[in-house]
Amino acid sequence: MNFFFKWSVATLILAVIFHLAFVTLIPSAIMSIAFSKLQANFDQNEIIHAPRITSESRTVVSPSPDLVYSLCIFNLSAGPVKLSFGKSSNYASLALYGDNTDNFFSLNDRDIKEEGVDILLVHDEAFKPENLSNAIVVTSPSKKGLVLIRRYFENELDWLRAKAEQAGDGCRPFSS
Amino acid sequence: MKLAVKVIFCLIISAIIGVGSALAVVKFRTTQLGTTNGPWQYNILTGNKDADIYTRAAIARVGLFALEKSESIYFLTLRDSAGDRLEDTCRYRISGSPLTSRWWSVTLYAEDNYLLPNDANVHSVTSTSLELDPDDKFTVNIGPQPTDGNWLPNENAGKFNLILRLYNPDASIYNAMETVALPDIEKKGCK
Repeated sequence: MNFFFKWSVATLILAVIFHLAFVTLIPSAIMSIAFSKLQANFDQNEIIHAPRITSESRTVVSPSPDLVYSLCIFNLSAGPVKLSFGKSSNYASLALYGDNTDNFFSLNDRDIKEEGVDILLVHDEAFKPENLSNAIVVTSPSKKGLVLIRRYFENELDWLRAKAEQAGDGCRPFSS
Repeated sequence: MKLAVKVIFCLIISAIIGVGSALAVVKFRTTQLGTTNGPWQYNILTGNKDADIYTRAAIARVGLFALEKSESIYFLTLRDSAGDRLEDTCRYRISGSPLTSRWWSVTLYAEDNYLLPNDANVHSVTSTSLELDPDDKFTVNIGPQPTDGNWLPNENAGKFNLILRLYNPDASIYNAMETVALPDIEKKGCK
């Protein structure tokens, strides 16, 4: 009796540990899968203007068909990355996600000047650039993550406008 | 040797129980995202770093890369206002008053959470393209065949779901998520 009790308790405790560990790892695992799909075709620290969302789109679940997306897989291992969020004449937002899917920073077109904004993304908080007075400095909680820029379009003509405005978006390694 | 076998057996059983229960709980949480308002479910912690591990896992499965609440609020439903599962064998009518946000949309997704192929290439209705009724309210018909006014096709959708997105929502919605008037979803008939 004592023998079974001890082993049952040990199994139960281990099951709880497996349970919590697995649930905790699900977002990172799903993020890794999304990264793998994207990295099959695109480099890190490079802006990607995603194809229009259709019923064929399978990169992420529940995509919005009313938005055009620009995205960038950022990797801060080799240093900061400079992001550019171009102007928009309709709703647009820039959101930053850590490798555990947390949305750790976002802003929209109403938060920025008409000409757009530059963002310096760093992992090391000690990094304080001196020659980027007009850029917003954002510290990422993880070295790797995703930049997602959404631009709303109302109709086919507006889609052309949104696609043209994507030209103002950028993502590249920062060099001082 | 006997002890090693017992340890391995213990690890295998605990892994099966732990991982199996984790998958089951997270799958359940994707259908019970948090608070409800009529047929709509929402979780105010969507996209937020304060979300618990179960919310974060569930959102990663059904709404990866969601925005934080200050930017956008998401409402999900798998059911009509009577509590019945949304299915492609039935027609529905979504109705309500326009929502106070910069813009909003209702999008129809198949059970796998991706958009559904359809000949009309219609997947959503948005506040800026919506035709309003004479009383300034709106109606959206869901069914396999096009209708007058606003229409969302559900042909071959199986058991589908709807996501209502509000971008830059008004404070009146923020402050009353459980009671704000959200669209009603009425079943209009089934095959």
